[in-house]
Order: sequence, then structure tokens, then C-alpha cells
Amino acid sequence: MANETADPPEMTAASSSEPERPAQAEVVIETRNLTKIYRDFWGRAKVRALKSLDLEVRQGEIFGLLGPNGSGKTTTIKLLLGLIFPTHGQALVLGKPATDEAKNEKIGYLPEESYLYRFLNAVETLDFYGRLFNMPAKVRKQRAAELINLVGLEGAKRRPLKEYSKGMTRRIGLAQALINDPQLILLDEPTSGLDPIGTREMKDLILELKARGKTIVLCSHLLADMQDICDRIAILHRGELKELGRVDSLLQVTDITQLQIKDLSDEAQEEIEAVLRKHHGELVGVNHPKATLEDLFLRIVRESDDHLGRRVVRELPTETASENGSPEKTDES
Amino acid sequence: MVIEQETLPLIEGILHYGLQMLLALGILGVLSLIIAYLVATALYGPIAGGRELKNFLSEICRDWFYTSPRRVLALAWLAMKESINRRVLVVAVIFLILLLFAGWYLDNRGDIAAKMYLSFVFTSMSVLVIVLSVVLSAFSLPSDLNSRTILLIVAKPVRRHEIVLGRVLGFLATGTILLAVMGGISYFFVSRGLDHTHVLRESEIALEDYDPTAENPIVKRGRTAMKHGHRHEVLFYKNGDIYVEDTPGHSHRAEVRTNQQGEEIVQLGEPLSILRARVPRYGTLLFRDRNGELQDKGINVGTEWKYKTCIEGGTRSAGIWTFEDLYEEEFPNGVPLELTLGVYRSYKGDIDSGILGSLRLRNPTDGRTSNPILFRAKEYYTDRLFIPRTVDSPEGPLDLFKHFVVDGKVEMEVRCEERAQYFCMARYDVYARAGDAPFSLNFVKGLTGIWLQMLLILSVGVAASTVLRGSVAMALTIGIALSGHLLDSLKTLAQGENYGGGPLEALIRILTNRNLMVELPNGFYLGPTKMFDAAMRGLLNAVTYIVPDFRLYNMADYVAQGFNINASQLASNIVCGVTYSLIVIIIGHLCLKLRQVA
Repeated sequence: MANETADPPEMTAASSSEPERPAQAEVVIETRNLTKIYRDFWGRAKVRALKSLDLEVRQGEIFGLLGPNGSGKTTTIKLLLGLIFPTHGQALVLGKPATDEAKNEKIGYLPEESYLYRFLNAVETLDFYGRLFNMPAKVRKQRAAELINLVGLEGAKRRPLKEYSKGMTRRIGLAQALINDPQLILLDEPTSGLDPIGTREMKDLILELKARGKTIVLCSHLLADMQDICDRIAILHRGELKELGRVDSLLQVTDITQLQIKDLSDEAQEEIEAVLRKHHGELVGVNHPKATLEDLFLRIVRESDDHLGRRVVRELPTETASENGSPEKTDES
Repeated sequence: MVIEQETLPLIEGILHYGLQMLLALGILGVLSLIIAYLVATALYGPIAGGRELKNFLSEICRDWFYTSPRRVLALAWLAMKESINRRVLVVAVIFLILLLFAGWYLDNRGDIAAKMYLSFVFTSMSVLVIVLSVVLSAFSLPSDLNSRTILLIVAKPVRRHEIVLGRVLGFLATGTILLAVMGGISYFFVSRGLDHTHVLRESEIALEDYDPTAENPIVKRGRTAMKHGHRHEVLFYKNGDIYVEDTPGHSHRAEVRTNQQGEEIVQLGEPLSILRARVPRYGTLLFRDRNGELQDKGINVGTEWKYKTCIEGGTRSAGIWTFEDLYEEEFPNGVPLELTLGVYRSYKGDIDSGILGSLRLRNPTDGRTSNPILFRAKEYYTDRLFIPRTVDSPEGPLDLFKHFVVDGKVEMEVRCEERAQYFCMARYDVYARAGDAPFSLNFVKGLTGIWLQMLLILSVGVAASTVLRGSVAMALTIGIALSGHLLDSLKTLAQGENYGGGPLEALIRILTNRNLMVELPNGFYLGPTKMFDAAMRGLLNAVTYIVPDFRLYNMADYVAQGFNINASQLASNIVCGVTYSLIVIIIGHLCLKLRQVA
């Protein structure tokens, strides 16, 4: 991240072509009725971590999973990776069942905490994970060097990870997630532990990866970060999907119209008001003001707490929503 | 001492030790399949359940088919790094310290010195390596699961069996390095510990009365001073040859020198063949009772030697060994025999001189018999008897290989010549010594035995830790290793040959204060108790078939006793050990595959 101009290594294959528009793009992740219930020793349901999740993530988009702690974000990621098995339902990742290890060839994963071997140094770490992808020694060496450069750990690459700060650990964690030039990148809280500059760099890198055609699924509760970079988000609460759609359309406040007018005199304003009354005149700009994602998030969490139960989620038509500014009903029915 | 375990040719050995185990594991496999199907049926219904099971099994096969050596090696490398990080090399230091102290206490006297030293180093190495293997293997996966470092491994295209296999191989590599280092230190320690020389001064040599007409008579004779708990008798022949008697199991090369004071001395060099690997050639044993009838066993004189039976002295009673493979090319000068007969005295007699015995050769086809070759057998000693090429017989001197050995086959009849005394014997007590194998190679073979035990324990430990917590996995691994070492006692218990009944009956005996020999009084509880105990015995019996027979891999005794470890025996042990480990690793694979790692 220190070296922002450096090309993310070996991403050239997909980088030249403009990413396809999500709606037409290939489905990368598909979950159907995905449910995870943790049971106790006697088989009684202890925690319903995820309830009937139906999702589709398409190639080339940045998809955010939002939710308060314990809402099922990490569970979803773990189900997608096949680390845990669903109680009901199914998850297909890159066209393969989530439990098929072969799908991992094209997946990069950064867990919420960097679960790395602390006795290895950065070079050994990347080399080790590269070997798990069956990469030949030469390629591994080259990619490890490029990624260490990319995440700015050049000066500390021979130090064991136990001496790393949290931010450095996060960076090496990201580097290992990219070692195989993945098509799909799952990032669990990618900006946690990073300082503002690191966060900015991480976000830039995510956008750059998207520009190279990668699909990115991230989960976070740092809403401002999500708002900046996500194309679409899903909001989870107590294991249930509460909201799903494009960020820009979800954040539109549909019952208020905002005018942006330059150099407006009082007379003109009166005139405009008159014009508006008559539905005439030249408007410099009419659009809907945006709330922050934080507002939306808090509203949904509050509503969900007040009205427990399933909230029917209909996704916005992805292409037209933002352009027309047409409202989309997402209220409870 | 002799080695009592039978050594079988490769295929026979594999069939004997491996087949039984494979059969047991096969039955276990079929049972597991049935249980798995029942579980799948309960979860998905009979048809879908069957399909799920089939898919699962084909996935297992596919996993193995797509094994990536690079991934396995990477995981092995990680396990090695981890073990080094966990300071396993401290074990080598502990071993070194152990040896430093042991040097003070080990008996380096005479015949038993080599045995003591070798037993000690092999036992210490086994114990250290086994303890280390248990700890390394049982705690590694659980600690990875706890620290969640496993998440990043399974999120890569790593098959679950590669995790198990990589870990076993990694720890095995560390263990092998450690074993090699300890082996090297041990070899040095043993050879240094046993190394000694003797000096014979002029004053210790006496002139001998000799027959001047004899061809090459002994002219002088001397005894060295006591060193390492023994002396050597040194004989000087007329032609200048000096012969050092190898009474305590080894000899020395002698050289006449002049010391700094100008005195002529006989300097005995480093010990010869103190570390040896005898290659025994065994025969089969039959007995003849006092009436001359052939029998499978001799007389039982009590359970002092369960496996040895006895022949009565001064009667026609004899032990007849039939050797099948004594050839002239291998024994051009004659056949050196070693006999370790048990001596049972019904009266004490002259305790120092041993009991007189005889050995007769017999041609198995024409029944031609040699004159008796006499020897004296002492308790707990291995007597050496050399059968020369020319053997006296009632027909005059005859050539051993021309007149007594037919196609490598010859019979040797051992009798006790003193009335009312007994020789006790078993098959492996008499063997022809077909030269010696290189000791260092035998030492390495002995280490291979420890290596195989390490492999088994690592596999069991890692496989157990895929489903169990570290401490529980460790307990299980220790349990299996102990059962494997104590298989004989377990079999006795499982077959109900012990006194005092099964566990419940034993408990009742304890509670009601009844000893082992008393019959339990009839009562309502007797039936259920017997049934419960029978069930427990059945269970234990099954266990005895499943646990690996660790006694097989404990080959240190051969090295310590100075016997060469047969190549085919070693090979069959390796095949059995590796197969067993592989099966255990597959079980670990199944368990890890079914486990949610996050």
C-alpha cells in the first residue's frame, strides 16, 4: 500500500477488459436458503446463526455484508469457504459447492484476525501459502516479492510475524490472500486495525482489484468504508437478511427533493418557487439527497429490533435505480 | 541369552503380522460403513442417504487421487518448523546429559557390557522419541484449531488428508533428524564406553611345559591384569603366534612392544567384535523322550521357563535340531554352533564346572551318526561349540559335508550326559553362527525399529487429534502405544486366562474381600456379572487385534544381544508399520473431512 503505483502482480490477465456490468455478469456466489444452526450436545438448536439466506454476487462487483456483531456475516463467509457446513440450503461458489476444496484455487481470503503462523517471517509466510496453491518456486518467489512491495512490508520481510504490529499483520494477511491472483476475494473486516492512511490505502487497493475484474465480498461494520467502495450491500441482523441492493439507491431519500442552485438571488428564488408552482423554469440540478449508510444501518437495526421477524427484501433493479432516482419499496409488508 | 521371537521371511512375515491386522481393520471398516449408512439414512432417508455416503466416499478417493506433493511437503515443512519452534531439539540435549550421567553407572564389565550399553541407549532413545512423538502429534492440530491458524490452510485448495499427512511427515522428519543425532551420539558413546586395552608384562607371563615334538605347542601363557571387570588368557605359540582368548565375549589383537623403560610388554589393542551382529542359522527342534520316542515337547520342570522344555540326563532323552541350510561354501572350515541351554539341576553337584552334555551329528537320509562331541553347559551362559570339517565316527574320521550334510540338511542331537540332571531347551537356543554382519548396519536397523514406532505414534496422535482435544488425543495415543507394548498381557486378559475374572468380577472380589482363587458364591448377580465380563473381554479382544503390535518394532533386543536383524524381518516390519500408519492417516482424513474447522 505504500507503493500505490505498483501494479498488483499478475493481475494483467483480467485487467485489460472493462469489468462487465454486474447484472449481466456471471454469478460468482449463489446461496439458496442457506441456514446455519449451532446445536448443543443434545442436538437442540443453540444459536441460529444464519437463516435462509438467498444471495447472488456477480463477477466484478464489490459486495458488502453489513450487520452488527453476531449478525451472521462471518458465518456467511465461513459457509462460503466450506469451513463450516450449512444446516440447510446450499452455497455455490464459482460454480462449485462450497465444500469442494478445488474452488479455493481461485479464492483469496482475509479473515477478521490474521490467523498466521507467528514463527514465520513475511517471505516464508507468502512462500508457504503459495505452495498450498501448488505454485512453482519461481512464480512464488516473484509474487511474494511483488506482494510484499505492494503492502509495503519491504523493510520487515525477514522479521518473524510475532514482532509485527497489528497493521503490519493485517497487511501481510492481505498479501497472503492475494498470493494466488484470486478471482474472488473474501475480506472479513479488511480495515480493522488499520490507521486512517492504511484504511485509505486498503480501500484504494480494493477498488483497484475491482478495476481488474476481481469480485470482492467484504464484511465490516465500518459503515463509512463500506459506503465508499461497495457496489451492493446486504444488511444482516440476527442471522436474517434485512436489506439488499445497490448502495446508491438504498441511500436515496425518496420523499425529499433537493435543489442545487448557483448564485441564487432572493428574487430568483421567489421566481423559482413561482416557476415550481407552475412547473416551469430552468433548474440547475434536482436530485435526492443522500443519507449516510450509517443512518440506513441504524434505522434497519432499530426497525428489526422493534419488529422481530422476517423482513421481505426485494432487490432494486440494479441498472435503473440510480439513474432514475426511482424509489424502491423496502419497507416491511 | 537368545532372541525368542521367530523371524519369518518377508511375505510370510507380512501375511502373519499384517493379514490379521488388515482383517481386523477390514471388519472395522465394514462396521463403520454400516453405521455411516444408518446415520446417513436417519439424516437424509435411505436412498438419498446412500447417495450422500457414496458421494462422500468418492470424494475421499478423489482427494487422494489429487494429492499434491508440493502441498504435502509445504505442510510437512510447516510442521517441522513448528516442532523446531517448540524447542524439540532440547530432547537431544536431555539425551546427551542422560548419557553423561549414565557413564558413571553402566556396568562395563566383560560380556554384559555391550548388552548393557546398547540396551540403555536404545531404551533411552525409544522413550524420548516416543514421548516427544506423543506430545508433538497430539497437540499440534488442536493448537492450530484453537489459534485458528487452520482457517487459512483450509481456505486454500488443501485437501484434508494433506493436512494429516503433511503433519505426520513433518514431525517424522524432525524425529528422524533427532533420532539420527541421538543415534550418532549413542554409537560414539557405546564404542567409547566399551573401548579398552590391556597390557601384559613380562612378569605376568609364565613358561609352559610343552611337548617339543608337537607341531606348534604353547610355549608361554599369561593373564592380563583386571580391566573393565575382566582378564584375558594370552597364549604364546612356538611359531610366534599370540592368541588372546575371548572369554568375556571379545578378543584383542596382541603385539609385542618395548615400553619407555625398555621393558618388553605385550600390548593388547582395541577390543575385537565386542559389538557384533551374529547371523544365526536356526533349525527346528524335536524331542526324544527317555524311551526313545519322538515328541514335540520335552519334560516340564515347572514354569521357570515356559517356552523351554527339558530332557533328562543319562537316558535316551534328547533334543534333535534339524538344520536345513548349512552349506560347505558358507562354512568351509566347519560349523560354529552356539548353545544357550537351560540347566536344571535336581542336585547341585559341582556348581562351577557345568553339566556335561554331548552332541551327535546324524545324516538325515542314511542315519549315519557321529561320535559324541562333548561340552559342558552352564546356567545362563552361551556355550560355543565348533564342529570341525573332519568328525570322528564309529567308521573313523569322516568329512562333515560329505557324510553328514545332505543338501544343506543335517540333524544334531543334544543329550545331557549326567544322570538326574536336565537340559532345558527351545528352538532358538541352538544355532549355527554364519559369520557376523556389520555392527553399524545392525545398529541402524535397530534405530529403524524406533523410527517405525515413532511413525505409528505420530500417525495415531495426529489422527486422534483431528477429532479430540489435545489432552484426550494424547491419552488415547499413550493408551494405544502402551497396549501395543503390553499386547501379551492384554491377550491374556482378553482370553480370560488370568485369575480372578473380568473387571466386574474383580470389583466384586475387592468389595467382598475374596481372593482370586475363591469361587464366587451363587447369587442373582453372578449371571449378569459373567455376561458383562464376557462382553468386556470381547471388546478387549477386538482391541488386541486393532492396536499395532509394538513388540514387533522393538528390535533393540537384537542389537543389544548381538544378533543381526534379518533383512526380510526388517522389510516385513517396515511394510506392516507403514501400512498401518497409512490406514490410520486415512481414518484421520475421514474425521477431519467431517469436521467443521471454524
